[in-house]
Amino acid sequence: MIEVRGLTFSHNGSRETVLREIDLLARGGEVTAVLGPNGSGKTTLFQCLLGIWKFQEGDVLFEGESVRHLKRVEIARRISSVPQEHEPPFPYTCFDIVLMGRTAHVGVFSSPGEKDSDLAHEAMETLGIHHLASRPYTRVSGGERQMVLVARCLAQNAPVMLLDEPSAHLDFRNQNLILAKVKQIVRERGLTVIMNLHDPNMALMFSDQVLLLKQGRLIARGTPDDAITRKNLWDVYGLEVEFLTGSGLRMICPRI
Amino acid sequence: MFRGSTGRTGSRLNRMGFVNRKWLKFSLGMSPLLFGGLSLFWGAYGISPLLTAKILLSKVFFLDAAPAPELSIVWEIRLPRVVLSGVVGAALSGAGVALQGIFRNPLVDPFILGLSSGAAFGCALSVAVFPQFPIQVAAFLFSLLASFSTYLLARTQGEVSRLHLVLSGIVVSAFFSALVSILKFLVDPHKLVSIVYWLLGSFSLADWRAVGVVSLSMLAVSFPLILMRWRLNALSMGEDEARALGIPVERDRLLFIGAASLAVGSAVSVSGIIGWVGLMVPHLTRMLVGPDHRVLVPFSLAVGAAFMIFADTLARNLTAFDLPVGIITTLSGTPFFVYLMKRGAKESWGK
Repeated sequence: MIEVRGLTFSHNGSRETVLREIDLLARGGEVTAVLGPNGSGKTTLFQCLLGIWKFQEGDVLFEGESVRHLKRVEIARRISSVPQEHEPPFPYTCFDIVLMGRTAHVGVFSSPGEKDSDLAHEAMETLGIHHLASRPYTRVSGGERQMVLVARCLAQNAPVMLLDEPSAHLDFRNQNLILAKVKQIVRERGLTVIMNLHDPNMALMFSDQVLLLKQGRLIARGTPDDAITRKNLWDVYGLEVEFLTGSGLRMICPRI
Repeated sequence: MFRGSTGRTGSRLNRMGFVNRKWLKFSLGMSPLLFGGLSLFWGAYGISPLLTAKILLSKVFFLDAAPAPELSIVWEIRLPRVVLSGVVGAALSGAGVALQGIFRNPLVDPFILGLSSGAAFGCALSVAVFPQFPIQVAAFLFSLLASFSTYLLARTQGEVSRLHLVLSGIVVSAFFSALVSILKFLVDPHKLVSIVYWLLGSFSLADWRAVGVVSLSMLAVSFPLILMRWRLNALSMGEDEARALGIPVERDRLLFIGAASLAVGSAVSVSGIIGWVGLMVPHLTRMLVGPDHRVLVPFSLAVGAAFMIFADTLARNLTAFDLPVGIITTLSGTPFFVYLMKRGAKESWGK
């Protein structure tokens, strides 16, 4: 469980507030989707949750413990993250990348042991990507990379997992595959997942709670059906939409 | 049960690759000893391999079995020189691999980041102006100063970009080189000769005392470098990602920069400026054993030692003079690097 109370953040020396009084409560076994246009503060919110950027007001609590009082390694044992698309400078194997998830559990002056590699292998098996283990991470496809990074989060074994635009840069099939896989793991392991998404349809399909952000402010928060409405989408994106229903699904279609 | 992804496919090729890999690692690990042995009996004064072995054994077991001139040539001149060049080679490539890792930049080395020039200025200052100040301490302090100047110059808004880092290194390097030039201009000609010769990089002044100095600081350096080497993998993923994985990035960078500065400072203080080793050896080793720092760091140390011993043996024997070894490393390093760049850039740089 992770709780955010009145989180307010602005960059050092800047008067512009990037995030203003954000509230959030995400429970185990639930997927929370954060929606908002580019520059609305989605990634900044994640950096604050990870304790990488120090927020000025409010608090972030893991099971009641404030992120302010936790050391780096303690935070990493509570929260793992899939960063946005990136390229490492060296061609590590996918297994090496997954094994990095064990950093917070391995002593400063030691290397990962038998148990750590077993956990890394297990995480790759869980996601069905064990065949990638000895392939260079720099040579696999974007979808496979995302899977490797999710496996790294599993190896990190933290109760909370953040995914920063997990479906960006992926093809149609992989976008849906990765989110379905994440949702399945969340249900099985009772993880708390928060992810940034661009497509409200994805949020409707894969999330249990939705946050709508605009210019660092919380516009709406609630179940997907409550939060994703014509009015809210107009407020956040400035776009007219229609809702189409059928086969038990509700889909959003922009009116352009 | 999840072990061995190569074994799982079970193809003959893969298994052969594995065997070859083992042999490769074994021979890389043994290479410093091999080149060291070669270097001991190859020299201006001919001493047979058998006699060399006899001398070494007699020294180890406190026997008195060897003729006097050969004994002192092997024990007092060649052996300290071989050991010194090995340790310096290991120090420079160890510093190179650590710097490339923490700055997630395959293009940096102690020379490019200005550490070598800083150390050179420290040494020149100590030779020319403050002879009573220990040269090693001066070298370490100025190489540390240079590395932090480069780091702080390159750091904008908490991130160190690759381009900025290389540019800052060039700036700092140029600054300290200019300071060295001032010293060279002002100092009396007698000292000038020793500064110039020493800036070219050479092991001709090797003795057991120098070996002691560098080995002692390498012992201190290997503490973070060997024990914390796996963390270099996560550190090389970038600041924010390393933090999210649970690494206090500032503290770890500080440790690695300090270690690299100590290694380079002490290496420069005993042998002058020897370029290219810190850049080339980590690359070569990465192509051979892969980028995982758990394997890369120890093998870089071994390959660095072997390469430097080999280069110094050539420097002694190519001509009638004792050539500065820095010339050999650069002359062999540049074409080799061009070859690497053309052939293996994709594998070793990831892009």
